[in-house]
Amino acid sequence: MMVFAFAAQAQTRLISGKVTEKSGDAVPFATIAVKGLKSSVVAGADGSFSIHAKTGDVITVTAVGFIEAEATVGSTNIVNVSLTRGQNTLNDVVVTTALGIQRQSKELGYSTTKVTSAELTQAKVTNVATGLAGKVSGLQVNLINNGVKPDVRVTLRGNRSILGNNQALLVVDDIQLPISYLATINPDDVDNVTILKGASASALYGSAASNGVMIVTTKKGSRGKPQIRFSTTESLESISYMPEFQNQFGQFGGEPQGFPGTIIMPSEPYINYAPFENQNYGPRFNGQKVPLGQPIRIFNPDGSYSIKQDSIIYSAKPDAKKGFFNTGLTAQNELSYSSGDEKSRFYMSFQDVSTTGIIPGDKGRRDAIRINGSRENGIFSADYSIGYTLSTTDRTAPGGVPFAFGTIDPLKILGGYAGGGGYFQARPLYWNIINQPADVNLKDYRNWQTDPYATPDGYFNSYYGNPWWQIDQSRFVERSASLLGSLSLTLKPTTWLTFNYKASIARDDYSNKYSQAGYTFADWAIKDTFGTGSIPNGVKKFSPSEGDANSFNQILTSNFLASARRAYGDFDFNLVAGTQLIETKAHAISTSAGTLVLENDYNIGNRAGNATVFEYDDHTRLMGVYGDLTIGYKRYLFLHGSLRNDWNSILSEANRSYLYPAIDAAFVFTDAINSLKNSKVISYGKIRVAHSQTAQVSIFPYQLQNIFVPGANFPLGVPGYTVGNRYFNPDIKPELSTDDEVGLELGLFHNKLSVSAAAYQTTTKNQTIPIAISSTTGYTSAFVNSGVMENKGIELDLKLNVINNSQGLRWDVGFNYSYNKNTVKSLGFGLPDINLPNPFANINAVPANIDAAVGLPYSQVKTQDWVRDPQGRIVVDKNTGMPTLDPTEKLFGTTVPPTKIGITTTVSYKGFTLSAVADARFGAVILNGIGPSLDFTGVSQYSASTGRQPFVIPNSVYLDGGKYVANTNINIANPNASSQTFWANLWNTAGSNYVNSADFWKLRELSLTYTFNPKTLSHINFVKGLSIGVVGRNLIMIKAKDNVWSDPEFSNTNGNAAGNTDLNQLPPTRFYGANLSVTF
Amino acid sequence: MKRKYIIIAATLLATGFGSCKKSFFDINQNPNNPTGASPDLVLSTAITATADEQVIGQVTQFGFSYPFWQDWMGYWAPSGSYAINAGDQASYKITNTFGDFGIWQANYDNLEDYDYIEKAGASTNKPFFQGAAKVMKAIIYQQLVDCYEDVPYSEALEGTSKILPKFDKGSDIYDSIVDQINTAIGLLQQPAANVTLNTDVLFGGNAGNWIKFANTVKLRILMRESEVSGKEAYIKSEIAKSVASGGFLTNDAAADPGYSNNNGQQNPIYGFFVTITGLPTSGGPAADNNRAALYSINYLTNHQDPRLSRLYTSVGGQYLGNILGSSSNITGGSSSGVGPGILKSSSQPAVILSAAESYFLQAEANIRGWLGTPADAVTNFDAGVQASFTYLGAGDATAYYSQSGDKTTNLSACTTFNEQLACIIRQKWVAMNSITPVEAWDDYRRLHLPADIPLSVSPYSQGAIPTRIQYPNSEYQTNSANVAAEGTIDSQHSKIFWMP
Repeated sequence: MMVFAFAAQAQTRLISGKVTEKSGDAVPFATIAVKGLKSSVVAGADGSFSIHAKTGDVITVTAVGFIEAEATVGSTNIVNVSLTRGQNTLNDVVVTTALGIQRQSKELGYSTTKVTSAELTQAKVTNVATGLAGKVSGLQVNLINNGVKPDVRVTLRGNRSILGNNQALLVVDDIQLPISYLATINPDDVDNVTILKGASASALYGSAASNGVMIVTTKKGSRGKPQIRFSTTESLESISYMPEFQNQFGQFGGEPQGFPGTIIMPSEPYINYAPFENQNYGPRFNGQKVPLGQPIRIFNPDGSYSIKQDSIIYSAKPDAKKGFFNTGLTAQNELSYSSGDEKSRFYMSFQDVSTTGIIPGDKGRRDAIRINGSRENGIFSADYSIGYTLSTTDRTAPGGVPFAFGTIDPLKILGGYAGGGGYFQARPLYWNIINQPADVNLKDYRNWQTDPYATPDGYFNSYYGNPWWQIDQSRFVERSASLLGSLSLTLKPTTWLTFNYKASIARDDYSNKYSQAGYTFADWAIKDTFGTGSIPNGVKKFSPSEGDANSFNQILTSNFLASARRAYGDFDFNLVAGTQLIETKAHAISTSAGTLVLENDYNIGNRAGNATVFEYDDHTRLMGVYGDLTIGYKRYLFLHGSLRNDWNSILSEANRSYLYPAIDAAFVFTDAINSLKNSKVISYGKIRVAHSQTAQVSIFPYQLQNIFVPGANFPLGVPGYTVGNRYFNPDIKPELSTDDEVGLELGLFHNKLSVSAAAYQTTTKNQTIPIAISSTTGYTSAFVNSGVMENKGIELDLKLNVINNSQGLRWDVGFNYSYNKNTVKSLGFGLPDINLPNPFANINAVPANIDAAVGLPYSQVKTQDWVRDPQGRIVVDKNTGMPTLDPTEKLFGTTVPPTKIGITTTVSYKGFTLSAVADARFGAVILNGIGPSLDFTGVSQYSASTGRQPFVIPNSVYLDGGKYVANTNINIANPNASSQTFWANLWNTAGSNYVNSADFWKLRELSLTYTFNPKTLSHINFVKGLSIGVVGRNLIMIKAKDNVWSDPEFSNTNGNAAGNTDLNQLPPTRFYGANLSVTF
Repeated sequence: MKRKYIIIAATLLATGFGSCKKSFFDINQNPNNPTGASPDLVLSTAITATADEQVIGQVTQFGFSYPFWQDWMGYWAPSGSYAINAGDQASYKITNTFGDFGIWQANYDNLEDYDYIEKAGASTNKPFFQGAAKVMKAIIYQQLVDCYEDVPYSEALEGTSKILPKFDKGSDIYDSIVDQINTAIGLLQQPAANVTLNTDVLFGGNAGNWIKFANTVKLRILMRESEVSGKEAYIKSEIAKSVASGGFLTNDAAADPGYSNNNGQQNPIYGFFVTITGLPTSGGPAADNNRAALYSINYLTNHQDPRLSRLYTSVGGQYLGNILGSSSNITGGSSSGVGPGILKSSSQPAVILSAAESYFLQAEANIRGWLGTPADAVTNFDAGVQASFTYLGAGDATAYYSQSGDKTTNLSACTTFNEQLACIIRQKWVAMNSITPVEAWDDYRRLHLPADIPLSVSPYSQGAIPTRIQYPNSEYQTNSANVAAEGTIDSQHSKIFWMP
C-alpha cells in the first residue's frame, strides 16, 4: 500500500535516462536531482531513472563511490549520464540481498560480506567453499576429508538447531539449494559470493534461511569486446603428515605367546611368530634378517611346488607407510567466453577438473558447462542461466559405510548396501595400510596377482589383508549430473516499478555402484600351518558382492516479485512484495546383493538369492508470501522491515502456516553530521541495528505419523510388518530463531582502514528433537518440540591498505575475528544431554558420542574415562597397577571452535601479486578415533612410550584402607604380554585418551601471480592478457602438541555430530601448483 | 498502458495466492511406509523376532559373536583364533556398556508389536490376537525378569505418555504374567479364537495349540519359582488349572515364517553358521570361532550319546573341543563345530519352546509332587529325551535312557529326589544345547545343576558364572532416575528373586 504523489509542474516534462559507468555497466541507485530544487529521484538497479525537468535545467547525479556528475537537459527527453569511479571503495558495493533484491550496502541494517571472484579463486580452488575458508568472519568451512571427493561443512555464526540442519542455505543465481550443491559449481564462473550471516539478513528467504545464506552470483558477461579466457592449473597433492608411529618394535608380538609349531625368531628363541592383530608388540628391531609370514607354496608350471618363506631385515622403515600413498594430481582447464553490448550480455564457460588422488587408483572428474545471458528490449528484459555439471569419482570402497543417495541432501536419504573394506572385518583401506609392521614396505606387495608373497594366500599378515588387493578389487564409483537452470523475465512499465518473474529448476541425478571381488583361498593357505586363525583359514571363500543406487532430487522454484522505488522529498521508498513457491521431489532406489554367482560380473542379475532392495520417495511444497519496505531519509537513515508468511506441506494443517518479521535500521552518521563530512579521520561511518525472527522446519516429510516398517528381512514366506521405533508427533511446530544484531562500520583515513564490527544474539526455541527415549516405552526415539539454544557472538573485520604508492606498490591486509558463545539452554524433559545421531558413534568399540548438553556449548564430545579420585588422578588396582574404566560417559568439551581468526594479505607490484590467507581456530576438542586402532595394533608412538617396559601410570593413585594413596611403584607388570594387553586391550578402551585440542593455525592459501603488462603483449595481436602463477594450499599447519593423529578440521560426518575422526579419513594433505591464464 | 501491466501483474500475484488452496499442501501422506497395519501382518514379524531372540540374542553381540550362554553353559567355546580379553564372554565380565546382549532393546521392541496386536485385537473384538499377544508378552517378560530382575512393566510400552517408565519388582511381574496367561487362555477358549492364519507362523491360528503353549510357558514360570519359599500351594493350583485347560506342549513351538536360502532370510542359527552358498560363514569370528566345548564332548562321549554326532561335527573322525577362556585352544575351523542336528537346513523352523523342555518341566513337576504322580516322571523324562533325539535326528532313544545304573541318563536308576532332579536337569541341559541355552543358564542359577559345569580359565575371569546381566547403558542415559533406583548391580552375586 503506497501512494505516490506526483509533483505537477506545468512547465516541466518527464526526462528519462540511464546512469552508467564508462564501461557501459549500469550504476544502480544513483540519486538524481534537479539543481536548485528539493526533489530527487533514485535510479533503479539497472541505472534507469526518470525525472521531471525542463529544458536548460541542470541535473546532478550522485552515486556512492563515483564522482558527482552534472548534465544539462536539452531538447530531447533522454539524458544519459556516465560516471567515473571515485576513491571511496567502502560503501559503494551493491549487494544482492535476499531473493535477489539488489540494495546498496549503506542501506543495510545487518551484516553482509561480499567476496569477489579474485579473492575466491586466488588459490585456484576447485570447490567454492574451500575458497572462502578464513576470509569471512563468522563463517566456518570445514573440509572434513581429503581425497577425490572432499566433503565440506559450512556454518555461519555457529549452530542454531540441536538436531536439524545447521548449514547455511546456498543460493545460486536466486535458486535456493542445499549447501552440497557447492561442489558442482565451477569457482571460475562465480562473479561474487555474498554472505548473509544472520537471520535478519536472510529472513525474507523463509524457512530455509535461519542459518544464514551464501549467495553465489555467476558471471553474466561483460559489455564491450568479446573476451575469451583460457586458464589451466596443474596442482599436486601430497601428504603433509602422518599420525605418529613407533619405529622401535616389530611384528613378532601377538596375542597369546607360544603357539605350537610356529617359527622361532632367530635372535630371540622364545618368541613365536603369532601374526595377530596386535602383532606390533614384538621385540625391539635389531637389524637381523628374519622370516616374515607363514611358509607358502610356490607352484611351478608342472604343478609341483616348493615351500618358501619370505624374509625381511628387522629394522624400521619410517617412511614406508607414507610412501604407500601417491602424489595426487589435479588438472583444471577452463575456457570461457564473455561478451555484451548495451542491450545484452552473454557468458559461457567450460571447465574440466581431473583429479587423481593420493590413494593409488582413486580418481575423479568434473565437467561443467555454464551459459548465462541477458537481453533487454524496451521495458522487457530477460535473463537466463544454465549450468550443467557431470561428476564422477572412482574410489576404493570405504569400510562399512552406508551408501548415501544423491548429493543434494545426503542426510535426508540414507540406506542401501553397507559394504566395503575387503574380505576380512570390513576394515577401511587406511587401516590396512597403517597397521602393518614398521619394517615392511608395502610398495613391495603391489603385484598381488603374480607375486606369491603378495597374493591373498601368501600375504604375510594373517589379519590385515593386502591393501593393494583391496584397491584393485573393492571399488565405489559415484556419478552425478546436476542441472541448474533459471529464466527470469522483468517488466519495467515505469522507471520506479518493476515486476519480475523467475522460474528455476535444480535437478541432481545421482547413481553409485559398489563392487567387491571375491576370492577363493588355496587349500594349503586355508590349512594355516601356524594355527593363527589367518584370513584364508577364517574366510576360505569370499563371495563377490555388488550394490547399485540411483536417486534424483529436484527443486522447482517459482518467484514473483514486484518492486517499487520512489523518492519523495527527503524520503525514498522501496517496496517489494512477492510470492514464492518451492516444490521438491526426491526419489531413491537401490539394489544390492551380498553374494554373486560369477566372478567379475557386478550385475544384480548375477546375484545368488534375493536382492536387497530399498525405495524412498518424497514430495514437499512450500509457499511464501512476503512484503519488504525500506524507507530512506536523506540517504543517510534507513529503516527496513519485512514480513513473510510460509505454508509448508511438511507440517500439519494447524501448524503449517507461520509468519515471521524482520526489522532493521542503518544510520550513516558521516553523511548526516555535517562536521564529519570532511573529516580526515572518519571518511565513512554507519551504525546499524536489526531484529528478526525466522523459522526452520527440522523434520522431513512424513514425520508426523507413526509408521510400520517391514520386519527384518521380511517378506519371508509370509509378509510382515513391525511398529517403527520412532514415536512421531503430529503437532510438531517450526523451530523459531530470534535474532538481534548491532553493528558498526567505519572507513578511516580516507578509507585506508575499514572496520566492520558486529555483535549478535540468537535464541532458537522450539527445537525439534528426536530424543532418545527408553526402549521400555516401546520406542527408541520420539520427536518433541523442546529445547532452547542460544548463540552470542562478536565479529570484527578489518581491511587495511598499508601502502599504495605511486611506484605501483600496493599492500593490503585483512583481518577477521569472530567469537561465538553457544549455550544449550535446555533440552526439555529434564534431559541433561542427548546424543546427536551419528552413524560412527562407536570407534573400535570405544564409545564416541557427540552430545548436546544443557549449560554447555554445542556440541560436546562424550566418551568414557578412567575411574578417577576426587583430585582427578587415575585410580589403579593395588596389585596390578591397572586402571578401571568408568562406565559413566563424561563430557570432554565442544567440537565447535568458538574463536576463529583469519588473516589475508595481498601485495602487488608491477604485475606481481602475492596473496596469502592464514586462519586459526581455538577452543575446540576433537576425538581421534584413529588412536585406539593404532594402540590396538601397536604401531602407535604412544604404545611404545614406555619402551614396552613395566611402568607406573603417571599421576595415579590406589585405594588403600579407604584412602587414595599416590602410586609410585605399582607397575603395569610383565612387559611384553602385559604390555600388549595393557595398550591394546585396556588403555585403548578409554575414549578420553584420544580427546585432544583441535586448535590450529593454517596457512590456507599462498599464491604468486605475474600478470604481463598489456603493453608488452601488444605485439601479439590476439592476446589481450596473460598471467602465470604458482599457488599452494594448506602448506603449513601448526596444531596442538597433543594432537598426533590427524587434521583437527576433519570429521567422519558433515552432519551435526562433527568432531570425531576415524580411519575413513585420509592423512592431511597439502596442494601446490602452477597456473596459466590467457585472455584473447 | 502502464496500468495494464500493473493489472496483469496483480492478476499473476493473485493467481499465486489462489493456488494456495488447502489441498495443495495435503501431500504429506507417507508413500514409503504404511501408517497402519492389521494385527495379522504384525504377528508374523513379531513371532519371528521372538524366535530370533532365542538364537540371535544369544549368538551375536554388536555384530561380533559373543554367544555367552552357549559358552557359559559348556556347549561352545571360542577357538584359538582370537585373543581372550578382559571384555569378552570368556572373562564373565558384564558391564552396562558391554552392549545389551541384544536382549533389552530387542525384547521391548518386540513387546511393542505384541502390545499393538493385543490392542488391535481388543478394539476389533478378535480374541485370538488378544490371547496370542498376551502369551507372547508373558514369555518375553519372563525372559526379561530372568535376566534383569526388576524391569519396567506396568508403565512400559506407552510411548511418550509414560516417557520415564518405573521399574516393577520381578516377583510382581511373574505373578502378573501368570494372570495374563490365564486371561489369554480364557480368550483363546472362545469359539471365535479358532482361526486359520498363515501369518501365525507358530500354530497357524490353532487356538488349542496356543493354549498348550500358554500352559507350558506358565509351567516354565512356575517351575522357576521352585526354590521360592511359600509358593508351593500357588504353583500347585496354577498347574492344576493348566491340566484342566488342555495340558502342555507335545510338539516344538517353533516359528516357521518361511525361512529360505537367501541372504538374511535363513533360519537365524543356520544363517549364523552357513552362508547361502553352503560354506561356513566367515569374515569374522562366526563359524570359525564358535566351536564345540570340550566339556560337552566329554559328557556325551562318556555316556555313549548318539547325539554327539548331531550336535557337533567331527574333525578327521575325532571330536575336538575347546576350553572356555584358554589361550591355547585350537584355531579356526580345526576343532569340532556345531553339528548337523542343529544346522539342518536354511528353512528349518526356529524353536521358541521345545517339546523336550515341556517334558522335562513336567518331569520335574512330577517328582516335586506338583503334577500327576512321581511315576509319571519317568514317562515324561523318557519322552523328553526322545523329543531331543527326534529334534536332532539321533533316532530312537530307548537304549540311551535305559543304560543300566547310569544316573544321568536313566531316571529309573535314580533313587533319591536329588538324584532324580540332577538326572532331569542333566538331560534337559543336553536337550537345550544350541537350541535354548538360556534355559540351561536359568536352571544352573536356580539349582546349580549340572554341578560340574567348568569355570572359564581366562586370566580375566571374574571367578563365577554371572548370575545376572547389567541394565544397558541406554537405560542409564534415557531413564536414569528409575534405573539408578535399582542400585549397584553386581553381575557375579546379585540374585534374581527366584534364585536360592
